[in-house]
Amino acid sequence: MTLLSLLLDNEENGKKLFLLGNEAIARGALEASVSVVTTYPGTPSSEIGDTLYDLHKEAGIKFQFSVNEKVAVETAFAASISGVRSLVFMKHVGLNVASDPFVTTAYTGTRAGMVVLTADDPSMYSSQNEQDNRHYAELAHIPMIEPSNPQEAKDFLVKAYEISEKYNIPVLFRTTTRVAHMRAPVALGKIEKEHVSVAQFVKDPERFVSLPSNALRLKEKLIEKISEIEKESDSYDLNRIERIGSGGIGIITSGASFNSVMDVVNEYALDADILKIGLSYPAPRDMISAFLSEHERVVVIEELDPYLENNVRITSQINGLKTIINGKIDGYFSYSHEFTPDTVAQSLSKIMGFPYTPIVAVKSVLPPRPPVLCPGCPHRATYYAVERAVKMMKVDPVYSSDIGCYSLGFYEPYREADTMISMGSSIGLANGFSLVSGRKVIAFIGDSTFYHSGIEPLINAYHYGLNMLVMILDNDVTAMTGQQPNPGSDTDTEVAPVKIEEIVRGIGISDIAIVDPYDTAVTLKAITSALRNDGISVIISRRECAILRDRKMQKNGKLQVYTVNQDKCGLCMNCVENFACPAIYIEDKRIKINPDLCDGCGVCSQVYVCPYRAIEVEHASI
Amino acid sequence: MPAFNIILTGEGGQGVVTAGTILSQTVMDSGYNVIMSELHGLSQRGGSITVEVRIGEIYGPISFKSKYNLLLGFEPIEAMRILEQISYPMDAVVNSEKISPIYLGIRDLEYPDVDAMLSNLPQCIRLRRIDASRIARDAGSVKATNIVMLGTALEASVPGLTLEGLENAIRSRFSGKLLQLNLDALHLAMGKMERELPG
Repeated sequence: MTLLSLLLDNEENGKKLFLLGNEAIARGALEASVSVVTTYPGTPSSEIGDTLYDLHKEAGIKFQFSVNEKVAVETAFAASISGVRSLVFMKHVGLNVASDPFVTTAYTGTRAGMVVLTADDPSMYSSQNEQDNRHYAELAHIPMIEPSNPQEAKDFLVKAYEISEKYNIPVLFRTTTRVAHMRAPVALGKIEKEHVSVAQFVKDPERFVSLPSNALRLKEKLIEKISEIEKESDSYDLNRIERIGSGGIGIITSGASFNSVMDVVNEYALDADILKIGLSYPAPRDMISAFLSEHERVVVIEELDPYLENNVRITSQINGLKTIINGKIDGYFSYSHEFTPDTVAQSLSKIMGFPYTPIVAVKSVLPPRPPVLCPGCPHRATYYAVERAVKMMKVDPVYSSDIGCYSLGFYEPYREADTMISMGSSIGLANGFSLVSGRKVIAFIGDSTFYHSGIEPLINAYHYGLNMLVMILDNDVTAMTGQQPNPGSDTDTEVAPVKIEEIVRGIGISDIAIVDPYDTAVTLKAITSALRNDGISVIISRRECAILRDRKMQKNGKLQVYTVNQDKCGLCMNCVENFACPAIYIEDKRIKINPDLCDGCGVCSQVYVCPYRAIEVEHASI
Repeated sequence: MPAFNIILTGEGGQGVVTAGTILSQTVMDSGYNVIMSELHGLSQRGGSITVEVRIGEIYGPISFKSKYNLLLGFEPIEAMRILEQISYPMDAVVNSEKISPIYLGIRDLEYPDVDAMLSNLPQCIRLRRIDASRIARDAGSVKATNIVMLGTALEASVPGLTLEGLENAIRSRFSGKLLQLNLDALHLAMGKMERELPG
């Protein structure tokens, strides 16, 4: 049986599957009878979408990869207030985009259960910042649940819907990378077969039109709800005390930090009780107060910001307690990086006085192997062509880059990223650069990011007559997060692909070219021509993601592989040093192509990359 | 039982995550608790990738850095990147086949002499080398390198890991040609280990 059929199978009730946190969340959505699911792909939340996308039809779920997180939240909210349970999920920075509707949904409240999942990324494995989205719960007055492992991720999600429906309020479900991407045995629960997927919105404008006259009243009601949830927070079994110690020292923790704490406490046989908080907003202050009273010293261990610690200190102050509180505000724990058993043990040893020898990292003498554009990646061909064109035209542009695989253009040898801030910021920043200087700006943006938030800044640029070249790298998918479809994709008969060139022309921009980056000559010509233009030029560099192409080629059983004809090779090193494909390497002073890695794109064989024409088709393999 | 911690490392695209999942599934099916860490996202083909598999009564997916029992290194530089940080007893199996990071070409640098570094490791690290990629090619495709590496783990007293268990986990995950390739690779690895891994 495939994983998908195991996930769908209700007969598996009680059986344990080895699931990724994100797969467990997908199963949780099935067990909670969620009927509408929306998302914009973002690591570390993406596999929830991959899993639910694959099984949504069979499960009777309406699923959308929305154009962006704001639309995803609005869609899910409308489903909820129409009486259909909804789940919307995104990476942490996605909630910044969705924060506008998110905050106000708390005021109006919901009807059928609605969960907004944010996947935070301590240590920034694949993110541009390390923001702690627990603040959003406090900011919006929306209850928040934090699981520590895949089993809890599934079970707590089901409880999140109970809470959402009991109080008619959305619930923020916060995971982090090490929960979302942790694999562990998960005991399955029952899938409730009865779920509502079609419903009619019952009007109540005094509640759902957030004019100030309504919103002020709703705000007061919201604060009452939160106070009620706080009073009842013990009844959900989301917060619990592990009594391991003899009562001297207590540790308060949540989420992924709980796992590190438990591993440290067990490894060093520490004398400490642990209060694990799963419903972290509103903070269970009565429980915290009682825990503080029972211990002489309480240590708060949490990743990123002192969210719990602030609540613990506030609770202590309100109740006039004398318990010593340690955490990160007094300097024991870090505000950045994920916690590991080693980092937790190191800080805790200073407080509790047990012997711990810190790990001292040896300075590596090895060459780095950062993530790279795949062999055959069309972005490599585009970056190479831009670099050549800029040299030929003797211009020194500002490179304004964006979020996607192509942000790897930052690395050598391309170095074609001077700025990268947020989704769509390539064109947004190009507005500002163009406004204050006469210098040429080249903005790089992918198709998915363009639909997500590149259109508005392009409208702004056209409206104000700014000067920029926008390279839209259209590979037909949201590639970096795992090849999810986007509004440009023609995935099945139920979707209408949106053409980027029609959007651009619709704005009024006339200097637009569409090129195939695998054709270096044509691409170079289009770029040099655009660099001569004073005003807005848009080049759509269109070629499907190499990973997608591989899948199709392998299905058809054909993949060309290239080789270097050593008799023709002039060892100019251009392919190695400037084109820099992972398949091309040097061995015994010769340039070679690794047939296991070669993707057969053939760009390196073109005269603009290999002036000796020494790179030739070797053979067709699978 | 103390925790048993395995670290698998290689280059994105070598099947490191798949190997970790099959290994974990095998151990779980033998009745052990197992937790695995994996990272997705900016791990396109070509970057360093590391996966941890932890067996026992543990909570988190990350081991203490001083507590690894076994390293499976799919690529010499990536194996060495872990091993250069370690100075306590553990087993390590390292694939011989080198994959040059593009960084070397761009900087006009040679692939470092990892062989020399590996032969100078502290005595406490029990190192074994295996030409896993070649064995995988002999089985039919370099894609089965990860299964060959898993086969080597059978010699490392991993709790719950047996040949039969591995075969079952492979059977439940693959079908058709890929299933045969992976089973062949596993069996070929078994034969080779006696000859190429004499302790």
